[in-house]
Amino acid sequence: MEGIPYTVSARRDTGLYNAKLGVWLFLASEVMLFGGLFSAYVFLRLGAPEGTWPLGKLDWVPGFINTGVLIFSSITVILAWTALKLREWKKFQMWMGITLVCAVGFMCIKAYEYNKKFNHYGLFIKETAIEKYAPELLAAHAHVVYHPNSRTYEITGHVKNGAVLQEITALNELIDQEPTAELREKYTQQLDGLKIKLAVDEPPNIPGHPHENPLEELQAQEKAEIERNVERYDIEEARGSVATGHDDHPVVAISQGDIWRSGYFFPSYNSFFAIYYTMTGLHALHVIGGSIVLGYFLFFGAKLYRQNPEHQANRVEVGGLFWHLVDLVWIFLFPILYLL
Amino acid sequence: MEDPHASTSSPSTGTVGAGGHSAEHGHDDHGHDHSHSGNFWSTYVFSTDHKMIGMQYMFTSLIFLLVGFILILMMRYQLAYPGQPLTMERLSVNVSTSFANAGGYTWAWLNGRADAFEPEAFPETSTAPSAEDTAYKEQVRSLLDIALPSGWAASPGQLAQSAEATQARLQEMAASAGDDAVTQKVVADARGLIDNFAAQIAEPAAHLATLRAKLAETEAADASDATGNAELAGVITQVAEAQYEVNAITGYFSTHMGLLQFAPIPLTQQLFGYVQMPGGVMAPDFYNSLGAMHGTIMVFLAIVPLGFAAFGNYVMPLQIGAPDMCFPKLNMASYWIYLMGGIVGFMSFFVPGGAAKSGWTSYSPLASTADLPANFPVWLQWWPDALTGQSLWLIGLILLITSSLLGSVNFIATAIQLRCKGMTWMRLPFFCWCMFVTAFLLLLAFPPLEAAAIMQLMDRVAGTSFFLPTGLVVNGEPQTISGGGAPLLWQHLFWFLGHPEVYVLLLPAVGCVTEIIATNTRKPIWGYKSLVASVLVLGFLSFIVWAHHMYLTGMGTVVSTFFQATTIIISIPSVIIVTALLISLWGGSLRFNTPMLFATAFLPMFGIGGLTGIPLAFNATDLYLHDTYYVIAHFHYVVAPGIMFGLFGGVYHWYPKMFGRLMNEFWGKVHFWGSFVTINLVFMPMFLQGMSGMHRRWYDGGASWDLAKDVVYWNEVISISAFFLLLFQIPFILNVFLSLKWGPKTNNNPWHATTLEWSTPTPAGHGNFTEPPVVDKGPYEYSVPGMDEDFCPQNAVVAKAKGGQDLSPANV
Repeated sequence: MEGIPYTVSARRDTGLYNAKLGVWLFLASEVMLFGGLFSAYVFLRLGAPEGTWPLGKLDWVPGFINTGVLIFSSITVILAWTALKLREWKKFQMWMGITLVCAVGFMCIKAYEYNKKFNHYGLFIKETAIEKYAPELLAAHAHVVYHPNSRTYEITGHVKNGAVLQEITALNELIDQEPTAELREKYTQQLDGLKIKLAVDEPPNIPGHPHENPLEELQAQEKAEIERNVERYDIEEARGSVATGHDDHPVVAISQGDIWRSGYFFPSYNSFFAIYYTMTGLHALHVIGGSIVLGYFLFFGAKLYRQNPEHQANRVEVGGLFWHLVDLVWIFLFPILYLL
Repeated sequence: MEDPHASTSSPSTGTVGAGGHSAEHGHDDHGHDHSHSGNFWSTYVFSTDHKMIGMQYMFTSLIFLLVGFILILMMRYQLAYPGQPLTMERLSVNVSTSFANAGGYTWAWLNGRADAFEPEAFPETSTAPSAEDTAYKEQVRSLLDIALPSGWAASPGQLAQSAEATQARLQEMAASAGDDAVTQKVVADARGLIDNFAAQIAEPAAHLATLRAKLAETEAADASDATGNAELAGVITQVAEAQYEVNAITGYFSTHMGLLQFAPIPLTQQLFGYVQMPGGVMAPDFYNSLGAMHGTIMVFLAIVPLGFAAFGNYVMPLQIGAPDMCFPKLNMASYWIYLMGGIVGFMSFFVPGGAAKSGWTSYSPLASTADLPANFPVWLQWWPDALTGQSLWLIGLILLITSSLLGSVNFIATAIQLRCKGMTWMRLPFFCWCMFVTAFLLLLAFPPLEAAAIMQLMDRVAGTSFFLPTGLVVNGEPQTISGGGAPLLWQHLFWFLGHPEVYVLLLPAVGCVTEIIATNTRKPIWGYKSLVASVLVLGFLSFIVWAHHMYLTGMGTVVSTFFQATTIIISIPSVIIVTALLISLWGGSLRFNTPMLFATAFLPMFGIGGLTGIPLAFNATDLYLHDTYYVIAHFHYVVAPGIMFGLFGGVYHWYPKMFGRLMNEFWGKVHFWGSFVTINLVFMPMFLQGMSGMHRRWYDGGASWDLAKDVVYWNEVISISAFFLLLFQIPFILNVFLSLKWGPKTNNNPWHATTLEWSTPTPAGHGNFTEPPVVDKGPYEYSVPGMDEDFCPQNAVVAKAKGGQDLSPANV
């Protein structure tokens, strides 16, 4: 019996060649894969206590540019396919080349965004210690978020004294290894005394989400106490003492002992960054995989094109369908991560 | 693997059942370019031929089936004889005691004195070690105290002192040993280790002392403005590293000194290590590993690959008249990725901490936090997170999902695109319908679990909290994780796969049973159209019943009402399928050969499994039964005597097509009757245990729980039956392998069946058919009135004979 039929030409009753059907099925499966992650996003976001889901943590400009880049590359991949259908190899090379440049550009912008987040720091101040820092933070117009589950106040910014982070890591490691109790105690005290200097972020300006500083609420609740200790909450005076740092953002110093948890904006920082890195990382893997396939068609497709141009066109069509899915996923990712 | 094609380079020319088509054919008159060079690797190993891949899947999954079964047998031993070491000697003593007790009880009961019967106790176990063992351990421990004094690390001088003292003590012991075998052995065992320790620790300890001095200096010089000092941080890091090295060496030696033992080491400890099988007695964690890995291996590595991948790959393209699968290379990739996934999963038994132990469902937060290297002994903390048991389980699962994705795309595309001329949808054999629906379930239900697996892997490796709630406490330690995750999310994503997975297991078996019943009753399947409709409805409904696995999570009444309703609705198509198959038996000329025995046994066994599921579909009764042995019995009745019997039948049924030889009937029947009796003895008592409230995850089998005291003795019956069930698989294993060479040779269509796979040469060559088949009738044209033979193959050209009437009827 002959080889496998319908590898290039369509079967009459289905109107499809094998690979086209195959890729649509694959796309269905991909939709379910990302569907699982999108539902996880919804689940986590709805489960977060009110007001604690981070908003405005991502700069929408590079994300918006990336959306444009991907949409544009979806158009060029169709043009590449059209060129093959018209048997214009040079034009195919041009359009497919542009598609690949777009893919590389997308990845570069993504890398720039990741890198920016990897240098952003945040810390959670214990509720019991917040009074110490309240005047300073109010004076600095810091963006403060209260987390009822862990009973902590979160502030974010850029670390001004990187050496202290090294020392914190080193001390933590030593305390874990230290066999004698007295030395453990000594190093723990040393650790708690260290201070992280943070050039704090200001509240993001998000339409429809006016920022409510939990410290002001705290202040109102304890008005009587404030009146007794005027100087402790004297914002004007505190403002004078706050130094400015990164981009003229005010700097506050927080003792390690008063911090529940801290870290750069890695996946482990909070649920938002966990889902952000997981989804965009998986999407980036798809971009890389798609570019490898499309690049193979561009750089190694000439021979097949000479032998069977329709087969080559079909391959590009199938690859293009996948590329559109990659684009489509991003079109959903962009608003839920950057805008909403 | 045995070479199935070797004996048939000139294939059989039998034309029975091939209708008007000639089966005369050589391997070289068809179109494929590869696999003809006779190259061993491309023909038998990295083959892209769907039949070879099907056989690879079959053998691999049968091996995994055996492995999964042996794991649960180890577990059953622990349940029947809790705390006893697992050695052949103890096994035989325990089993004979059980038999003596059973006989004694029966005798007493016959004499009306059952109440007064006192069972004979099992012999004392290793929990009371011998006097020599105790003495040996004590001496080793006293040496350990001298060699590794507390606080020693602070000063190298102290270290040298303790080394000297140890040597002195050793010499003293050697001198006073005399004929004392224990002391002699202690000296012999310990000397090497202690010398080795002294040699390895000297340099790191000296280095540590130097660094500590330097640290004191730097601290004094540091202005300590509490804002961090990079130089100081560097020194502290060095001290921590040096301290870590010293701790690791000490930890390693103290552990290994502790592991020294006097008694001979049982085989099970040698295989699985001291931590998992100390002295041959199963550790609780290892018990959990066995349960989790049994479920995982059976579901993902044994039954799905056997039913869907092996039979689907081998049979479906033949039945639809295709030359191969749509994407042969993807097909090969699917097999090799599956094998990789299986090996990754199985190897996790041999990493520190052992294999995954959070159940085959891997519920978080247990699964997200189990066996993290941070909780390992200090000398093992360097072990990467990604290589711990649960992480390997997840990586293996991701590989398996990728494999099943490639497979399911291939199956659907093949069924849609490569049906031969005249093979309309309603002429498809029912087996192909089952495969078609199964492939859709795999395609759409598996990816959400892949998403979940990626997230759990992120939880374990990247420290995220997808499934970890805020304020999580593990082993009494509050976790400094971000929290905010949802353990329920894992359950939803898991069971969104998990329930369709049940039908992925079931449908291939139903397909096999249908083919076998049609062939061996010599009459058309009853209600072909309702079967097709049922399987489609079943496939759809299986996506919206998943939360009935989660009633215990305390879901609200609205949600649980929805899932109770869908769960009851899904039983309708299932009952239609079983009923149609049952009615198919009515009035047939039944041939009870081995495949038919398995297929007919499938019906009542699956029926028991299905009907006992109804109480579990209702929230009210499920709350009581869910965590008991009742659930185990319920789903094992579906899977073991149900699905597995269907698949065994499939092996016996298609074996002659695969290898051109029949399997031995006598040993096949021994396999069937032995398995049938023992498997019911295994699972039927579990219903009793479960309804009495016996929890399904008790490590000691319920021995110490008051609730279970009236039913705990069934554990012995179950476990002994399970051992015999293993014995009855030996005829099958031998039958499969020995028949490759010594089975009686057969023609193309030994069963006189109608579907297309029986009109190919046997075994079919590359490209399957000698010429493209043309189909003009339904799949089950048996006993057509007026025909000479009692079967009419789908591609047979039926003469308009006997009164000029066209005898080929329309669809069944």
